[in-house]
Amino acid sequence: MVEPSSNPSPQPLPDGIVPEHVIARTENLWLTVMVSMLVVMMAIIVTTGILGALHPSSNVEVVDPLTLHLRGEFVESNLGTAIEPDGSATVRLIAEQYDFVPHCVQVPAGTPVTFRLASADVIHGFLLPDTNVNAMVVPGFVTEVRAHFDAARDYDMPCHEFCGYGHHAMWAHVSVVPKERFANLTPVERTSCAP
Amino acid sequence: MRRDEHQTAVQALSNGPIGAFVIAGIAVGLLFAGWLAFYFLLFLPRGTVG
Repeated sequence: MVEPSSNPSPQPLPDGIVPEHVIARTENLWLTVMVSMLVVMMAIIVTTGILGALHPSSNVEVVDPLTLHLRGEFVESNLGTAIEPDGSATVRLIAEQYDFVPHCVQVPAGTPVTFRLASADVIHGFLLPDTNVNAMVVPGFVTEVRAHFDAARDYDMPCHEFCGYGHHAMWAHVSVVPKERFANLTPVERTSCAP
Repeated sequence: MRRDEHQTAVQALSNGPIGAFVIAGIAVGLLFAGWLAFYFLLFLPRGTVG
């Protein structure tokens, strides 16, 4: 026992001051809380996945990165936004050190949009802020992501996978324009954000 | 430790660390509420991309 003093220093509590059964009850209670939280979170994720509300982009499609510019859907004349027979839009882009080609694409609002990207060199990232569009662009594979834009807005589109010394400058743009205005754009204007 | 301090500690902890539970509960509760809010109010409304 420590003798009383005018300015007693803090002393650690001796072991065994909390009864063993109280410690066990406390640990079991906290474990129950943690496991319950994990079960609830997993149940939410699995349920929304089964109901179709949650789907990661999972397209598996190969493409030869060495011949992107020579043949196939990623030749220069086929890049940019195309309107499909069903009225949806398909945007084809190439990611390369250190830019996206085209540098800016225009897409119509209120229309299902499918982005298809291929890399010409290394792994790049495809991200549209404030949307769930977020994917890697791996050389040799076609990245396909679907989106729907309700209103006109300009999106910055940064590469978010480190791809080399110029990675920080690898930005492009997606410009969502009203459907009526998009219909009046020529194919060249769809691949440019110039006013 | 003086005898009266020891008795006070024994009495305070006889039912377990209630105060620590309250603080940890608030912290974890806020974290869990934040996860739910992000998931249902931000992530799901943005729509599926696959």
